[in-house]
Amino acid sequence: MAISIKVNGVRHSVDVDGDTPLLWVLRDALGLTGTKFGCGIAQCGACTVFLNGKPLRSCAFPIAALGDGEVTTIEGVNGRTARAVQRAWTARDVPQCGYCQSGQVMSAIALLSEVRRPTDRDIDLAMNGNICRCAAYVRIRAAIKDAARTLEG
Amino acid sequence: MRITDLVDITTGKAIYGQDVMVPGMKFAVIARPPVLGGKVATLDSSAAMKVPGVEKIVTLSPTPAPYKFGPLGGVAVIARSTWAAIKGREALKITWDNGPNGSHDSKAYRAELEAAVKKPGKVERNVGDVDKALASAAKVITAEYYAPHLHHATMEPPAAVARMSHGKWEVWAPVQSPGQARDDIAAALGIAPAEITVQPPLLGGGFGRKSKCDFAIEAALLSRDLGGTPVKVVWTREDDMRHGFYHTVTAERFEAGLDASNKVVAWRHRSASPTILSTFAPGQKHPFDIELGMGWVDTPFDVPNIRMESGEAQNHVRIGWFRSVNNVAHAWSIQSFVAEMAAQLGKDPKDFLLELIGPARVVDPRKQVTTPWWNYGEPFETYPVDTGRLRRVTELAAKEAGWGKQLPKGQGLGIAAHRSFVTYVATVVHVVVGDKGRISIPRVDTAIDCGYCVHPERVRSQIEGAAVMGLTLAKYGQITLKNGAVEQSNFNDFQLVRIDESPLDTRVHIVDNPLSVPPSGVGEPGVPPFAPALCNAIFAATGKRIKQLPIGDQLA
Ligand code: FES
Ligand code: FES
Repeated sequence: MAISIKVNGVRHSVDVDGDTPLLWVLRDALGLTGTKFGCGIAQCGACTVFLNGKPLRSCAFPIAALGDGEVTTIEGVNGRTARAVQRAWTARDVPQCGYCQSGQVMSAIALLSEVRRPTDRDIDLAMNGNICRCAAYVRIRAAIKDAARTLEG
Repeated sequence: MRITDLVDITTGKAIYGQDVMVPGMKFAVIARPPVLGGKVATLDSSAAMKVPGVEKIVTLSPTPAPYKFGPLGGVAVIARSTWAAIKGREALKITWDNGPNGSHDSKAYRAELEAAVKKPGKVERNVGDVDKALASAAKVITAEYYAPHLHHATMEPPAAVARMSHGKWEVWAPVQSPGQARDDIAAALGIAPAEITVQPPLLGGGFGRKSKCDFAIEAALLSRDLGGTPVKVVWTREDDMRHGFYHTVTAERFEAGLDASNKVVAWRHRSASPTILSTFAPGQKHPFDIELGMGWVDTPFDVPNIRMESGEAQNHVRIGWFRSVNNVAHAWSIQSFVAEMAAQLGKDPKDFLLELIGPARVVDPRKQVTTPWWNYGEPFETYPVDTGRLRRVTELAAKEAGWGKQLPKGQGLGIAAHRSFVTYVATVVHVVVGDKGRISIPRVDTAIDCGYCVHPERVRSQIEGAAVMGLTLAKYGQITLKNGAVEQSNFNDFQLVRIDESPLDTRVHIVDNPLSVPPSGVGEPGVPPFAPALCNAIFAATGKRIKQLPIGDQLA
């Protein structure tokens, strides 16, 4: 069935079943592979996107539930916070294999959009839905703090 | 030195195996036999064919034992999208013929391994006369340890794309050894390797899993079935968890004999675990040189009578290599036993570890082993077993961690040191054991001597990551089987440590070596000492000795 969705500011019509998770629509139908598949059961955060600016696990969200919601993926994030996070990520050499990092970056942007100067506890709460098997957690934490400082300055 | 793909990774542009798109590509997921060696008994695919988007059902025959990197067979659902293929697979009605592994059960198997180490095994290294020394010892300390199967759980589940046009094959697969993959795919297709190009995109984690190319062979076989049409095989997380090449399961038994002055004069270490070799050749029940050399027969202790014996172990799953391989169980059990002995003797664990390592010298196991000794593929002369370097990292980690400092109740420091991949690593873990046995780790200090350090930042990041991988395997890691099938399925029941449980402060102390000290491994050696350092810290904090992994709810 044809479903109309808005992703990164662009409207698309996709021919998929209503129970198809948003993740697979993004990846298979729209070719937006920056959003990753890690578990499919909302456990790992690799598939994190924004729905109306709030983080969402796209693997467990049926496309039929989207309605007028606007989706932003890693390919579409921009603005001061996103830039600060992505710069901090590269300056700190955060990624190892990198596969989880789209999701990590999305969750970090979401955190810093809400909390300008996050504590370790804030970071734990905001980021514990994002698994990193390579365990770049030390650098993720440090990069979030770096980005927060940039945003203050 | 910057990572080449750094910006692409943080902006979502980097392409991994799961991300490869080829025009006209079909998507496949496969229902594989739940038990190793099983096959399809009956299949009803009528409901699956009715799922919108499903185009074809293909039955794949299983690779017979020895399995090598061959695909497991099963029933493939080929569809126009990943989701349609997943839904199609759910609609398949399959009954399986489970074969001889259908009665395999991890609990019963553990009892078999533990029985194997209670009796004399195949002698792997012998120094002096351990039987005599144990018989005449003033005191004998005995302990047993058990470490379960582990799984790589790479963040990216396996996936591969294959297509053929005009007789030429192209395969995109996140494999750790593209050359080997090309040869194996060629053999499966019955064509010359020169007819195949294997292109590895980025790998979303490997840890040993992705050196096995079964998933790439699947893609090629399915593409051939479709006359060369591009096919992407997607493994779901459940597929990954249940059809892995598992890190082996190990039972270990120690007997240490002490003289009247509490000096260790005899050391017998028995170990039983199914061997990686069983994946490649029939009838293999004892470890081969590579497994023996991974922190076992090279144990560098200053003891006059030493014997290592391996017990028999039949495999029932595909055994593979996982980051740092057999070093995981050996380092954990040896370093736990050392601390356990220290406690019984009323000695400081760090001092007792140094006493066992003995004076700075070169240990040469080559004339003492029954299978030619494997030194990580390196010449002994360039990369000897140097106890001076092992002592140095032990002392460095202890000093930096403030070894001996007073800690509040429920907190403790633990230490472990281990040589692997010709690198020397010692770790001190500071643990806080809280309410209901909740573990938190305020700080880890790891000292590493990897010869001349080429890229310090990456060495640090490897050690930071290794600490968390060590914590994950210690705290949660286990793959168990019932009726021959893996019981775990996803991150809900095979948990990985998240940011809020990971060590808050990880300090890496790199021994500064001149260029004349040749560089050595850094990707794997950080893993082995972590779990024993943690368990030793838990003992210091609570008096509870962890004898089996994972820790799970043992502290609750
Ligand atoms: S893929 Fe969605 S949370 Fe893991
Ligand atoms: S960098 Fe590999 S999973 Fe996070």
